[in-house]
Amino acid sequence: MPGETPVLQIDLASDLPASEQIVRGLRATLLAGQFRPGDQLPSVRQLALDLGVHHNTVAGAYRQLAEEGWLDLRRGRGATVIERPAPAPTPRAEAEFRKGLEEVVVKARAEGVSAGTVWRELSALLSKLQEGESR
Amino acid sequence: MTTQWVLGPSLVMAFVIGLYLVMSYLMPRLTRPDVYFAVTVQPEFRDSAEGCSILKRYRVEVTIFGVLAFLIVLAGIRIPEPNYLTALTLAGLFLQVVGVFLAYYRARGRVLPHAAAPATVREAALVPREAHLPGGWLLQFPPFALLAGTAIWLRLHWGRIPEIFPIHWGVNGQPNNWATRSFSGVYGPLLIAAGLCALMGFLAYALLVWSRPIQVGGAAGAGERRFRLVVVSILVATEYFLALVFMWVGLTPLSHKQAGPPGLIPVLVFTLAFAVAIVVIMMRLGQGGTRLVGAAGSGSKAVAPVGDRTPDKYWKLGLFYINRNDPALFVEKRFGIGFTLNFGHPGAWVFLAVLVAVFTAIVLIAPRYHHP
Repeated sequence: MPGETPVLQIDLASDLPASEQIVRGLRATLLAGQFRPGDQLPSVRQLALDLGVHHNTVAGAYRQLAEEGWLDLRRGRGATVIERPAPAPTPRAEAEFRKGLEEVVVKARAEGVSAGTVWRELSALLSKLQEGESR
Repeated sequence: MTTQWVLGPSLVMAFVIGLYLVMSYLMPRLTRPDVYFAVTVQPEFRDSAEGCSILKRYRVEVTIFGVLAFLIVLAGIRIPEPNYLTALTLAGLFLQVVGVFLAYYRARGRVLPHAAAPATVREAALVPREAHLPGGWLLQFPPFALLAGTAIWLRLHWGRIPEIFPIHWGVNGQPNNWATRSFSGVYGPLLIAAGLCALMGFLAYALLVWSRPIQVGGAAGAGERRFRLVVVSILVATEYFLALVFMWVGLTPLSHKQAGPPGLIPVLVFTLAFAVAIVVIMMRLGQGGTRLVGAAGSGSKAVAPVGDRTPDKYWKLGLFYINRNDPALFVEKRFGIGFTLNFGHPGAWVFLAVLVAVFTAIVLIAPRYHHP
């Protein structure tokens, strides 16, 4: 595992279900290249205990990431990070991305965030992700 | 009755009362900065005028009860009847325990209106936790080897053990209970020690596996990891302490000394030194290792107090944690240093059942008292 120990944070008071927060948080760390193929994630019970959620919540999140091709959940071996070739984007995924991005940018601009800041933040995010993918 | 035998137990009890007074006096400042008298508060509250006033009143009350208990125990020296002396020393300690609880309860009542909503953010390190006992399983072996060695020694010197030997002495130093040269009479204490050592080892392992880290990153996380390591190390050290003390208890049948158990003073000094060492170490660490990092690293800059990441509503009297939705079996104590059970977790009741089973076994194994 390169660099510092990755940390996952969730907010128990958030409207977003804990399982979805775990999926998003883990996906972000995986995309940022904080794990290498073969690295082990905490067991379902350990992560559930540390986050204070039911183990089914963590198990569901792990299953979703396994379906997306990030994790291998073979019985008795816990959750292992695997090599994941970037899939070819579907037209639907691209359309959803455009819509989601538009919503985020419009909301930020409406709340006074300058166009320059939006551009800088998007560039920084892209650089970070590209850096992670190249590891 | 000699003066030595009247003074001895009273002085030991006075020492215990003094140690308890120091602990209870300092405790409010040893908990997490944002947990005050078991209530989640803003970290700066404890240094506010109201926070200081609550602390001052609490300290006056625990000091009064401590001094009263001390005087009761010392008054016992002048009573020649051993049974009254025992009752009086126990009454002194009981008064102090009740007094400290009442002082804590009143202080907690005054802090409750200042309770703050704790942060709802939880964090976890994304690496498998290594549940290694200090020194590994190899360090678990010597205490049991010491006990086994003592059992072999007793077997080899079976003929030197009297048919009936004293196992309990009154405060006047004279034996008041005896055991016979039988399996439970001779090996009972060693079996009890083995059970207690196994329990300590299990508890150390359980704390590593079934308790939740509160802060993972930065100085606060490092302090907490060190705290956890020290707590587990103390449990392992307790195994060695128990093995040595019960080794001594196991060998007493070979002594023919009549006035008091042989070598009592060195064992007593060893026991008190062990207790003082634990108290000093824990005081230096503070709950969760917070005194190692100070306010800067304790998460006090967070918008909401981090506390111990358990909601106040699940704490009964600030002492008992009952939360069915929390998968943690052990959580940090709110008024004290170390961990306590989550009584809403089914495992807590299994753990208590194991405790009851161990102590029932001890009662069954313990040498039968015998009056010749």
